[in-house]
Amino acid sequence: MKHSSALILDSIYFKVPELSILEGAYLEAQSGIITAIIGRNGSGKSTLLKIAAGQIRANPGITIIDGERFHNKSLNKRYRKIGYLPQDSMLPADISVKRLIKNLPASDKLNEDPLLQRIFNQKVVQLSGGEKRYLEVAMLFSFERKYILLDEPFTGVEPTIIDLIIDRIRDEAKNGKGILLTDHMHRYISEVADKGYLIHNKQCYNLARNFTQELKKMGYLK
Amino acid sequence: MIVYLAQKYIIYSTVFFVGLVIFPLGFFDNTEYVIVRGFFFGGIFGGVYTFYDFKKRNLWPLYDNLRYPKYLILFTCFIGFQSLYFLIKPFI
Repeated sequence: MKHSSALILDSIYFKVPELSILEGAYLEAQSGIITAIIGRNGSGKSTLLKIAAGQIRANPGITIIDGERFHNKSLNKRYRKIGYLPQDSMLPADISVKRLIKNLPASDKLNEDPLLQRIFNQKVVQLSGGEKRYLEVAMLFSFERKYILLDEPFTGVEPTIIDLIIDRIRDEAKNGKGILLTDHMHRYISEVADKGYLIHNKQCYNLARNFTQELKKMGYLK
Repeated sequence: MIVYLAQKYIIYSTVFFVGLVIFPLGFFDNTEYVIVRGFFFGGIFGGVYTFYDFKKRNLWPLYDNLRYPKYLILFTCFIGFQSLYFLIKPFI
């Protein structure tokens, strides 16, 4: 089967009262490949990721993960295959990093991470935005899921930590994970992604390998 | 993380329980009835409040990522909270 090892969002429509956000969007993220979604504010990038992660329902639309079709949210089934990093932090502020990591399935891996060792005894509320983001990304990659959806992993993060996150993303893609990410920092996105989509006019347009040129052509960059 | 959710549920439900018991005790004679009702409605309101509190704080995606069934955990917490009645029954 052609798409047996891919996460596909097919014919996705999504509207909120009096505003249509997506109209028949199609997107495909293959395993072992880093796929980027680029678009203006409010174009529907995060909405697409939320639909893929079952956080909201498309009306209508279908998510296909490795050939299995999901019409409903089906969270338990979806999260066997995917890990999802939301745009806003998903960590409880009043818990220590040590306690958080201890409760995770692959805590041994995370305990060995030098950056996480530095913040081990702090509470989540005491972490900087970048440290929190790195912790979330490291947690997601420790879950052993086939597809990882990252919604703005670089926003508010210092360049050295962005480099660490990019290295992590590349390593995981080499290990066969499919990464679907979106961010406004197009320089980093262009550097790391193998494949890209631009959301324009409520649709997903497949970008050629040289993102920057094509984004300029489509009026996304000056 | 299940313990964290249970802790929050117990705290919120206890607050509702206290509110639902202390106020009506001034009006009703039947203490046992008021306490049983306090546990039941305290458990329900606590569950609803916990759900919306976690939603507001964007914590549910973490539980989804961990593949923890949130509704089942909340229901189990509710049942556990009801069983606390049997602990305090001898003192009523």
